[in-house]
Amino acid sequence: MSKEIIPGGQSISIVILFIIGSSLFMGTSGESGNSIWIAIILAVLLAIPLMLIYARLHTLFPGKNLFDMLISVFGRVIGRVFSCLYIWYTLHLGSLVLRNFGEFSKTVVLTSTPMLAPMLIIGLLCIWVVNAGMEVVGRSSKFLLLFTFAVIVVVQLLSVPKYDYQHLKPLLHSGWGPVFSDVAGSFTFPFAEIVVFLGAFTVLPRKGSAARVLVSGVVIAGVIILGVSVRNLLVLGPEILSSLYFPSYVAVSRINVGDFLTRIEGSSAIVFITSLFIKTSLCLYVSCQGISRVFNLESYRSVVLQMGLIMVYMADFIYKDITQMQYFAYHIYKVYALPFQLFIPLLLWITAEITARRAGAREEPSP
Amino acid sequence: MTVPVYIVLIYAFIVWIDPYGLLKQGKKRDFYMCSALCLISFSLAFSLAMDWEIPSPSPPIVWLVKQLF
Repeated sequence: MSKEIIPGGQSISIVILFIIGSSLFMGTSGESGNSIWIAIILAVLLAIPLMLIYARLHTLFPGKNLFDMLISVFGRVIGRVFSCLYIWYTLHLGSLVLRNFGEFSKTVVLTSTPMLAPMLIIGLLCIWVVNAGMEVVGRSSKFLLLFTFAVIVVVQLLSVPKYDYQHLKPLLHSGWGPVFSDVAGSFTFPFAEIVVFLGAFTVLPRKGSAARVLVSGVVIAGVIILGVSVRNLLVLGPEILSSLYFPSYVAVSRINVGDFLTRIEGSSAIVFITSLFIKTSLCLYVSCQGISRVFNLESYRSVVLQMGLIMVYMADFIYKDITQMQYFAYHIYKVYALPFQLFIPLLLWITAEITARRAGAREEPSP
Repeated sequence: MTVPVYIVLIYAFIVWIDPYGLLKQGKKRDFYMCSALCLISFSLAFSLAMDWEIPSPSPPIVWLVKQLF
């Protein structure tokens, strides 16, 4: 089968939709109340150097994905151990995202339907698209991003009459402590989650494109998340915001234009579904790529169906209820995800730089 | 108790199209991996259909993180 390559624009679309995925609907970590926007800005600023490190890995290992890099830097045994950790992480992340959707369906939209049914439908769609290849994911994401932008802009404009700017005051009333806690939360969920995209680096077109794709993707997604979070804050206020599981849905439900344009929260639910579809698809693709590289399979497509089904089933029993999901997402995940998002890529980058310099010094002709 | 029967029938079809399809194509290594994953996914699906409790990976992760901090 020919090598899959997706253009830069489509890659940026994947990155944006991946990042805004569930955080657009669940909101970001919210201990700092009305100072959440400061935390998001700081998290984006912190994420940019990390994106440059990820992009540097692409320059050091052109045409290789995360699993190839781990195996070539750390060797066949340790590299495979790290690869297995990333297979677990991507599978787990995909399940968490599917569960977010399942809980949303169960509590808000399809209250009488078993949670597994909507998750299975989205899961099967992801299996289909990943089986079709990353080019299909890229083309879908470009179209879905335009739709997402349109919905977000329209909803944002319609929310303006509901804004109460008093909700922004008093600024930093709890001090910097909760803000820094939220910076850590927003950094790991959702910005640094894009480490998953390292598993799909083989689809990027040329050597230096990763920096442009990752940095512009993170900045655009950061602006979207910032805009949506500020809208939720201005419409609902910090107290109500922190008590809701899906604040965006409630904020959009408050829109009422002349008693004519009301109850348009379904439109924001569509945005949630489109972005989580791309996020789950990328997680599934990368976990299958990982299995394929670790076990030297001929194609990642051989395991897409089974991995997708396991992902859906795991989403069903991963949490007992929505409270446990919320607790895991905002308190546990920021510590759990840090090794995958920061420590292992940093170790990989430093080791790769040292190896590349040593190799470069060896190749230099002696005087 | 009809759901587990459906699960068995659906998985019979899945085995026919997925692992057996790989075997027919001569991809032996892919077939073994796919079969192992198929066994796991069938076990999970059957357990869910029977309403058996499957241990969640979340509590050990929560415990580990709480031990660290």
